[in-house]
Amino acid sequence: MAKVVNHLKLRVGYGAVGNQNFPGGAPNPAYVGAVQFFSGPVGFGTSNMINGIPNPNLKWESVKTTNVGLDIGFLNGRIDATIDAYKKVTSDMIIFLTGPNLIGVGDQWDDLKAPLGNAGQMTNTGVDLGITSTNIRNDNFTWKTNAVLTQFTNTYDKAASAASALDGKVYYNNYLVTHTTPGRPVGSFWGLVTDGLFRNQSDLDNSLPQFGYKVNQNETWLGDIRFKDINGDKKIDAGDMTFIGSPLPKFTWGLTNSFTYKGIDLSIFLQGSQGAKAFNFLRWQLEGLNSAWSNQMRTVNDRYTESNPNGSLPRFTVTNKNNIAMSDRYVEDASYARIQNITLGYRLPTAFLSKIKVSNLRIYGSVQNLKTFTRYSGYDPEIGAFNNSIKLMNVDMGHYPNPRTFTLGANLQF
Amino acid sequence: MKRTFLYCGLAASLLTACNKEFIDRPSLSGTTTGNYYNNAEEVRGATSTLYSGLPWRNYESRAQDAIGDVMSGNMFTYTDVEYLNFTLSSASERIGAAWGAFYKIIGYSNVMIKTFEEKKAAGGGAAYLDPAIAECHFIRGTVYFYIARTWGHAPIITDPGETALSGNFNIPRYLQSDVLRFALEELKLAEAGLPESDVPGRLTKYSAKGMLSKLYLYQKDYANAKAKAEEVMNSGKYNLVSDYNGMFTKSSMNNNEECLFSIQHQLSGDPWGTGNLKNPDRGAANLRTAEADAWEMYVPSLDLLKEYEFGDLRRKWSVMEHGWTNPNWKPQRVNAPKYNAFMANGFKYDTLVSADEGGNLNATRSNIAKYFAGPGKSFGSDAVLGQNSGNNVVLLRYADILLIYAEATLAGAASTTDAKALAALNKVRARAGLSPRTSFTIDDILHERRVEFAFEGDYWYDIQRQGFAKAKAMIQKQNRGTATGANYITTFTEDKMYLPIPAGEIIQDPELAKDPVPYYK
Repeated sequence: MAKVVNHLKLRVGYGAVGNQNFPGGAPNPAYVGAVQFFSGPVGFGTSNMINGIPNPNLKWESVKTTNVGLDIGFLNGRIDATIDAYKKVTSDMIIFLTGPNLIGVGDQWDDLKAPLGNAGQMTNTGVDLGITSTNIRNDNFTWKTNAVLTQFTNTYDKAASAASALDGKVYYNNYLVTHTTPGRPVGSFWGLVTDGLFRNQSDLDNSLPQFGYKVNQNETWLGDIRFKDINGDKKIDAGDMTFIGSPLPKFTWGLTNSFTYKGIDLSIFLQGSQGAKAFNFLRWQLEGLNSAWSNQMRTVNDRYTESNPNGSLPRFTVTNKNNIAMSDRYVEDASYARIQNITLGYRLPTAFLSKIKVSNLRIYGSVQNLKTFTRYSGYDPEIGAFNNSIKLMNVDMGHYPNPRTFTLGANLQF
Repeated sequence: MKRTFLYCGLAASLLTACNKEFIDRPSLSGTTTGNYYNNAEEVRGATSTLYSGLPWRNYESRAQDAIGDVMSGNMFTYTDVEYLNFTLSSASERIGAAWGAFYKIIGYSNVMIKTFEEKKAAGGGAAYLDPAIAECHFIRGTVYFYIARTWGHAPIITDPGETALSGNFNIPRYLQSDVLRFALEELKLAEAGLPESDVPGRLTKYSAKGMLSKLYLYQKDYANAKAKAEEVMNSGKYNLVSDYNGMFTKSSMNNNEECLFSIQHQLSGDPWGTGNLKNPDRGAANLRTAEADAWEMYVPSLDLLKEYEFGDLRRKWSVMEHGWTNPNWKPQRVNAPKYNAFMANGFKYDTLVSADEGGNLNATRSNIAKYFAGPGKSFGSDAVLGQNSGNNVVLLRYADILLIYAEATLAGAASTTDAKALAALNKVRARAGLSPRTSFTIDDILHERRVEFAFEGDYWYDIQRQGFAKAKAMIQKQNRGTATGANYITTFTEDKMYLPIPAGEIIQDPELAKDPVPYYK
């Protein structure tokens, strides 16, 4: 046994920390009504506004973490592995207590800020696995591998009150794209479920009224999106909007292989994420097919027309506004694998260097973000949270993609 | 043992007490509602925001056009076509924009009312707090008036902080009649609390009386509508300005003697919605310059052009058509010699020459002149900064009061020859260079209102308040097409009388999908 396993450590931990980080744009302190002044003229000139509703009952957010970890070393350090399992319960989360726009306060720049409050509880449960192994090691050649795998689930356990949920909106706060009710992962995409297009007369004859539309060329017509009647009331409306995907990945991974052969070193870092969905709101605009005045992507060539009745995208229409309703039309698989970094280096032989009075010279070239393998149609599947809001994770509003970087360099020591 | 317990208890009570006091600590550095709003200037600085584009912009820029003028057949557009054809749905952009803006303005007013009431209760001076509270009531009442007309049954919110803290967003729609009554009571509070007079643009008692007369008219309470309009007329504070077009295009005419309530705009880089954004949406493409954007998103409808009587001066004050000129405007462009030569002696609206020669030929062969300030200061007009101009957006003016008076005197009768009512109507007609009427009907009033307030976002509500049958007849007879193809609505249905509520709001508040309930028990 000792020959195989030569290092074994079990770690068990429990911790509770308080957190008073406010979301962006929050008035601070939050327990008084802040007055905001404008840098430019507003109204009759010098104006101000009350920017924030005090919440004297605001308290700390608390994060309780339980974790179990195991470190194992095998074969004289040739293989090291760590496994961590954790459960992190965040309760009394500090967020803006926003609701429907009709309540009149919110979290947008021009909103009178909603009160900050302790809204509910969420749980993250996960496992992190890391393995480092030295596969080959001899005088001229070494090969090391490092692999990490992270898996976690997130659940919004309970909301501030029975009636409230976490809601994320975009485009001047006009469109709701995430709606997290207790039991779902935070940032759950919400919308209609599409069921293809109306492609022939019998489709239209059997159609349900969609947001009150009748069957005619200006309203529901050939080439329009058919939505599913989720609640079975024989009509399509806001009541048929439902969960259409989670922005959270099933797992993420990273893999680094490094090789050295005499003076040459090579490292390859691959990285990826599996199972996350993205709400590609850019396509709402660029494939909207609802205005002759907005630029569209080349993909709209495959829209439904009389001569292209099998087109994958709906018809162009300026009168039917249902085709741009929030739906799974814009939800995509954002899984990806990426060649994150390749570095190739060469250390010049010391025999040569000593002649020119240099103790060490290494020249190298590296490529960052060389290639991404994904089915995601946007610029970059690594989207993050819009405006750093947990309510808008993986909502693609047109973020700046990761650049590809080429580096050539030399390390020189005298 | 007992002692240990005692110490523990003491320690615990100290901890909790300490906690509480820590939280209750007033801010020492920041400006807060606790240490501010102690004089008229500070309080009026807050209410000043209620007149600004900051909360109003998502309504006044485009939603006002789409709902008020495209839907009513005054404007033609290639952009907001669903309002032209009545195929709007809850995903339509302007609906969400107007909804958000209106409830945002109400949110601002609600919190101000509550804050100022609390300041008053804590000993603040009623002399400066009461008029400010009355301003908030005017704004809140006016916006609920808009909401009741736009959506019919609608939610009423009076304390957003309480609503947000409760987390209970199951707020029902209240009956339209109750939303109107709520608005009415707000305006009555405003009437009682606002001053007789104030600096130009600030609300006074008479702004409230004017808005009340309009609301009474919508409730068909003709006696009160007439009485309130008459109080405004008898005050002697208001008059029709002679420069009708200047009221919408010259910032020097902001808050003139005709205006009872306007959204205040100033020309600046627009960090806070201070600019009027109607300029580019209305400007003719041949007036686009390096200083002023102009993309004619909305143009006059053919049907409106037909509505003007022969000799009505408002036609050229509101609309640019072939032959329209403004000798002061001399737009010039880089590397456009033909265009520059054409415009060198002043702007001419010409549909016969090509665009690169300075002409403009659009769908209805016309452009909107109201709220188009011009091609920019270097080119002989009021200053324009890209999309921004400095013109106020007028929401209530004296011509409206005169026409409300006339209509309230008619009081639903077939026609009238009442001398005072005729005088009011004919005052409006006289400015427009038209001959006086000797009697009038409701259709005469609607005609007058349509041309007088064209492109001011009001005509949809005039059509709608006629009830479904008449509204349908009025709409179906309009040509909503272009110079090359007419377009008539053949199936106007009753569900189009009010706008749908944005879908996202229903998800967050499912009660909105249910039947309305009374607000007043």
